[in-house]
Amino acid sequence: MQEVLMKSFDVIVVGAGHNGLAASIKLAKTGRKVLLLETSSEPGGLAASKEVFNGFKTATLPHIINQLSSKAIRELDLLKYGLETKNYSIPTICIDHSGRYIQLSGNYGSEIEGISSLDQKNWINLKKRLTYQSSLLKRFIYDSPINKDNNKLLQKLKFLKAGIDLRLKGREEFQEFFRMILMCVADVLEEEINNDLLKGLLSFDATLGINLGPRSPTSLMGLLYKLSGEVNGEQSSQIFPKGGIEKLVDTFYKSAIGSGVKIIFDQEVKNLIIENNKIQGVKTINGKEYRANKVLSSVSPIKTFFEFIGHKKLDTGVLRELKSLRYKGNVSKLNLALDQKPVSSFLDNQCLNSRIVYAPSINHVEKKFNPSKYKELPEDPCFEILFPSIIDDDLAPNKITTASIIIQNTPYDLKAGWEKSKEILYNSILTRLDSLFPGLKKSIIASQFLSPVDIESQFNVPGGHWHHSELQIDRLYSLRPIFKYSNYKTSIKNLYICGAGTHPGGGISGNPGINAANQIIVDEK
Amino acid sequence: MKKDFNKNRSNFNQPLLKTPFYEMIASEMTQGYWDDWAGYKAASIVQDQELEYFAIRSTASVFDISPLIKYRIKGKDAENFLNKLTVRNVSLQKINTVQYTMWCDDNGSVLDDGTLFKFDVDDFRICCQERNLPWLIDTSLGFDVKIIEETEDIAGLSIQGPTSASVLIKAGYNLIEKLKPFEMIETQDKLLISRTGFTGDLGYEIFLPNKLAKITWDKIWKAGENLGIKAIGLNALNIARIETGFIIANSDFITSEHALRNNRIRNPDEIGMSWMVDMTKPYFNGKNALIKIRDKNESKFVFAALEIDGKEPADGAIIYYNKKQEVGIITAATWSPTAKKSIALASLKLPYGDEIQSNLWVEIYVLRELEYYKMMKKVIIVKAPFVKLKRRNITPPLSK
Repeated sequence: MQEVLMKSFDVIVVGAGHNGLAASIKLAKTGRKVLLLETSSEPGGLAASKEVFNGFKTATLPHIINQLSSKAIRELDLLKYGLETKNYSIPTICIDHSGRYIQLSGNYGSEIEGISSLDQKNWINLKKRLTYQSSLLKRFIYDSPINKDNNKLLQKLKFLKAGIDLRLKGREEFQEFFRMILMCVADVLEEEINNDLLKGLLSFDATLGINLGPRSPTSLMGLLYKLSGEVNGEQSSQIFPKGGIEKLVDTFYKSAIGSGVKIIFDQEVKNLIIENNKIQGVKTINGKEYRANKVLSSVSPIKTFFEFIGHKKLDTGVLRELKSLRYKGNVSKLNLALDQKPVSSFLDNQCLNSRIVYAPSINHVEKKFNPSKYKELPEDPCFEILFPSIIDDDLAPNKITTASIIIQNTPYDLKAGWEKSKEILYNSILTRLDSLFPGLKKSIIASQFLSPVDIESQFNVPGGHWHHSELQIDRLYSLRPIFKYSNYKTSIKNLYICGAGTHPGGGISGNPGINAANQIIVDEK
Repeated sequence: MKKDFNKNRSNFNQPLLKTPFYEMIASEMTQGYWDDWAGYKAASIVQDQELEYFAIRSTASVFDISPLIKYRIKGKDAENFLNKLTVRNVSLQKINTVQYTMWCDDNGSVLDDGTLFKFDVDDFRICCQERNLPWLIDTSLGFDVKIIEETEDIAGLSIQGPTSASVLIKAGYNLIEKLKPFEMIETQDKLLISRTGFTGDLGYEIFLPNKLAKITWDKIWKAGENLGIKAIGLNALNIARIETGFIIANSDFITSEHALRNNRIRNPDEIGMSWMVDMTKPYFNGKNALIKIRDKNESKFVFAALEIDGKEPADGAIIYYNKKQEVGIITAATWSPTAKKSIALASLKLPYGDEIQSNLWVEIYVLRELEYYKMMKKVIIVKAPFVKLKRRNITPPLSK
C-alpha cells in the first residue's frame, strides 16, 4: 500500500537533529509550512536523549556546548523556551596519571591554577593571539560559502576586509597568522608554553573528534575552531546548560513546535523523489510519500547522496568527490551510572563540577593517536569525563551519579573489529578512572558503551562521525562537504543540505541549519 | 616477477609496443614510417600514401586497429550503466549492432568518443581513443557490472574498400554478406566482424583474440591477392576519414581530461554531435549541464566542414572573417582525391560558421623551394561528408 500525501508543505526537512530543528524554526518563522521528519522517536539527532539504564534517559553523546552563539539563540527563540546558559560555565581540569593537575576557569583559562606565573602570562598572550586568529575565521561562520554558484562581490569583499583588518593589526600579527595557520598544535605550544599538562590539554582539545594528532600538520586549526565558539556572547566559553543537553534539545524542539513546525517521528526516509532532476518529496521505508517543492536534508552527506539518491543518479565527478569524504569517526562514548559519588585522591569535591581531561602531555596525546593510523586501539587512551548529575542534581534519580566519558582515537574500522575490542577499551578506561577515582569501578551499577560503530547504527550517521565528515582544512568553508554543494544547494533542483557535514561543521551551534534556511529564503526572493 | 613488470610496463624508456599484426605489416613496409598510436607502433605509411588511399577507394585496404582502447562491459546492469555513461540511448540499440557514441563529464564536456558493440543486454564492448578505465569504474559505482580492460588481449583489423566484401567472402566469411551497416556477427572461429569503419566506404572491422592474428591475416591476404589488397597506414586513412567528415578525439577537439585550458573543452554541440545526445533519456552523466547549456545558449563554438579554394592543403590554418578577424582554426585538412577539392574540418567561434557563413577566409603558408607563399583563400561551409559513396550502405554489398 502506498500512501501519497498531498503537497501541503513548502519545505520538508529530513532529520530532527539540532540543525534540522534550527532550519525548520528559521523557515517556519518566515511563514513557510515546514514538515520535519525524524527516523527515531526523539528529537536531537546525535544530541538526542536515549535510555542509559532502567528507564533513565539522558543525552548520550555530547555533554557540553561551546558554539551556541547569541545570534542563534536569538534567531531560534531559545530563551523563550527555557534555555539557561548564563552562569553555567564550567571549568576544565587536566590531570595526569600521578595525580598532578591544572585547573582552567573562566573562558577557557582566563585563570589557571597549577602552573607557573610565567606560563600563565604566556598562555594569556597565546590565547589572545589564537582568539584573534579564530575571530577572523569566525566572520565567515554565518555565510553561505562562496562557490561557482554563489560568488557575490559583497562576499568576496569580506575576505578583502578580513585581510585588511589583519594587516592593520601590524606586521607581526599579519606574519604570525600566515606562519601559524597551517602549523601543528604541538609546535605552537612548544614555542610558547612550558607546562606539560596545559600542552596536553590543548593538544587534546585541538584534535578531539578529528583524525589528527597534535603533531599532524594543520592540527592547530582544531584549536582555533574551538576558540572561535561563543555561547551567548561569551567567547571561548564552555557551558553545561541548566538541565543538561537534554534540556537544550528540548528548547530547540519546543521552539520548533511553537513556531508551527509539523514534526513526525518514526519516519525513516528511504529515498528522495526526484523527477527531471527536480526534488518532489521524500519516500519513507514504510512506503509513505510526502511531497513538497523543497527538501532540506540535515543528515550526513554520505547518507543524503549515497542512500537517499544513490550512486546511479549522481554525476561521476560529484560521485568521485563525495566518495573521497572521510567520514569514519574515531570518538567513543561511555556513560556510567554510579551508586555513590566518586572520590578522588587528588582532586577535592569541588573539582567534580569540572570537565576533567586525561591528557598528560603532548607526547601522550600523540602516542595515543598513533595506533589509530593503523586501525588499532591505544592503550590508556586520552579522554574527558564529566559528572552531569554532580553539576546539576536534578539530572539523575536519587543518589545516583552519572558519568559521561568521551574517548579519543578509537577508530571506526578497527582491524580487530569492535566486537572483541569493546571490552578491552572499557577495561582500559576503567583502570585509569579507578586510579584517579578509587572505588569508581566498584560503584558502577549500569554502563553504556558506544563505539563509532554503535553510534553509526543507533544514530543513523554513516561512520559514526560526530562531525558527519572530517572537519579539517581541506573540508572547510567552500570545500564543505564539497565545493559544488558548499552553499547548501545541490545539483538536484530544490534539494538543499545542512547538518554537521556542511559549513561551518559540527558542534551544537545551529549554524549549518540557520545558514541553509537563509539560503532557501534568499533563493525564493 | 619484477623483471617482467619492468620489461612490459616502463614504456617510457622502451621501444613502442608491437601489435599482433606488427610482423606482417613490417614485412610489407618499404621505408619504415612508424608512428606512436596509444603506445603501439602504427604505420603512418606502409609503401606509398597515394596508392594506399586508392586501395581504400578502389580495391581493398587492410589497416591494423589493434591499438584501439577496448573495454568489455558485462553484467546485469550493463545497459543501465552505459545509459548513464554515454549520451545515446543504449536501450534502443539493437543486439549485434555497433553504435558511434560519446561520453561527457559533469559539465557536459566531451571526455571521449568511441564505438559501442552490443553483444547482448548484459554484454558490451567499448572501443575508444583514450584510456578511460578510472572514469568507467567510478561511473559504475552502484551498478552490477564488470569492466574488463581488454586492449592488449584483442587485436583488430579494418578491411575497407569496394572489394573488401569479396575478400572476406573469398576468405570464407560468407556470413558478412547479410551484414547491414553497423551490424556485427560472430564467426565460428571466434572472430567478431562488424560492418563498420573509419573511411565512409564499404568496409568491415574484425576483432579477434591475439593468437588468431597470424592465421587470420594470412587467410585474408591470400584471398585478396587478385582483389588489389593493400596494407595501409594512418596517413591514407586520415585522407579518407576527412572526406567522410569523421572527427578524432584530441586531434579535432581536446577531450576534457586532456585540456589544460578552460576554453579548449567542448560539449557535444560544439563538435557537431548534437544529433547524438538523447535528451529524452531520464538521465546520463552531464545531462543536467547540457540542459543548462542549451537553455542559456552557452555553446561558444561550432564545428564545420569547409571547402577551400585552390589545391593547397590548409592544415592548422587560421580562419578569418573579412580577412582580418580571427574566428577559428582548421583541425584537419587534405586535398580530396575523390572530391577533387581542398577540404577541411574546422572549429569556429560562434556566431561564425553558424549565422555568419560568408566572407570567411583561411591563411595558408606554402613552402616552395625555400620560399614561403602566403595566400588568403576563400572558404565555403558545406555539409559533411565531402565524399558520399552508395556502396557504403548497400546490402548485400555486391549488388549493383
